[in-house]
Amino acid sequence: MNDLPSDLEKELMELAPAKPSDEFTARLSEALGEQGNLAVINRKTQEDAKILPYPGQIGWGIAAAAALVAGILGAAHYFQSQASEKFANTPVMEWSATPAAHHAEGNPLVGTPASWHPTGSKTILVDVRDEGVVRDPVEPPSRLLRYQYLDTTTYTGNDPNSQMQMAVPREQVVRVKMEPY
Amino acid sequence: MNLRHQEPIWREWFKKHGARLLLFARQQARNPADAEDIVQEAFVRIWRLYGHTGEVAPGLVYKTIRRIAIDFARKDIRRLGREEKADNFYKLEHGSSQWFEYSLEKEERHQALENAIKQLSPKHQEVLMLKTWGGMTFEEISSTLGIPLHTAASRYRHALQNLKASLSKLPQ
Repeated sequence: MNDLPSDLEKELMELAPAKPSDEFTARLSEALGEQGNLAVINRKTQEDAKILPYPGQIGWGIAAAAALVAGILGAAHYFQSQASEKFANTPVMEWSATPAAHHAEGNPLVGTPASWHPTGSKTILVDVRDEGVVRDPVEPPSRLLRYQYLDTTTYTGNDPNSQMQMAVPREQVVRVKMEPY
Repeated sequence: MNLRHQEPIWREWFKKHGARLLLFARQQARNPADAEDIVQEAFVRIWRLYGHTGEVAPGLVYKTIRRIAIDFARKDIRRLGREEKADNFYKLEHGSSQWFEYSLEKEERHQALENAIKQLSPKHQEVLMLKTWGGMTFEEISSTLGIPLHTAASRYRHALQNLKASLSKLPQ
């Protein structure tokens, strides 16, 4: 069987389904009520959007995260090389895998120079992938959804103009039961 | 300065899938108003159950739309038995509903395609909808519609053949 789409199929795919009206979306919002607000997404400003232009582009997100981490390590190396007693004694490589925990305590991060403090953090949902259906002999079948987040932390130094950002990619797998009733 | 604000995930989800869901509901329903009611009921029902996870597989909503559309049709049959005039009203409304957006340069052709799609049998229409605009595989379609895999594939093939035949009758 030929899997390539025929001319007719291509023509059909060109047809875009009519979009729901704004009134209809408003109706949905009203019907969902408070439950519609349980899961939220952090809307980025235009400035933030430049860092991550499109949520589906996880490749960019990971590349940006890697670049930021490399930048931080480079900055740490620079501080060490200043031969300052204060900085030389600072253990720069003791990064925690869960920076969010440190934010909660409001402490400067372990391993960063004492002059750098976390001033903000945000979690961005970068992508959601449907991993397919998992069948279980006992429970109803469920769908595996893989969420990819970017936990971004901003650090500010003593000089208010000096800022660093660190982004750590994080994944979460959720099972959604498929029996709606 | 941080100007971020939070937006419910369902809005993003609905922006992505809403038009396709509504198209499927329009095909299943007897009139555009019913189609919106069906999508609303199906979406709200599913999102209340699973929305907290932030993502819902569209197949679940398609399946629910179909179930609710069947309930609506049953109610309609009872109602139409009482009011014969309603049938004429339905035909009038159904004919005026537009399923697709037309591009300016291909408006005539798109109109012809839509008319040809509307002439297909409902069984062919629903498979065509899920495959072409729902982006589903035949396996997913067979699960959503509760039909064997080969039936889904052959309905799709027949839908395309009928469309071709219908379009070939048009003046070029």
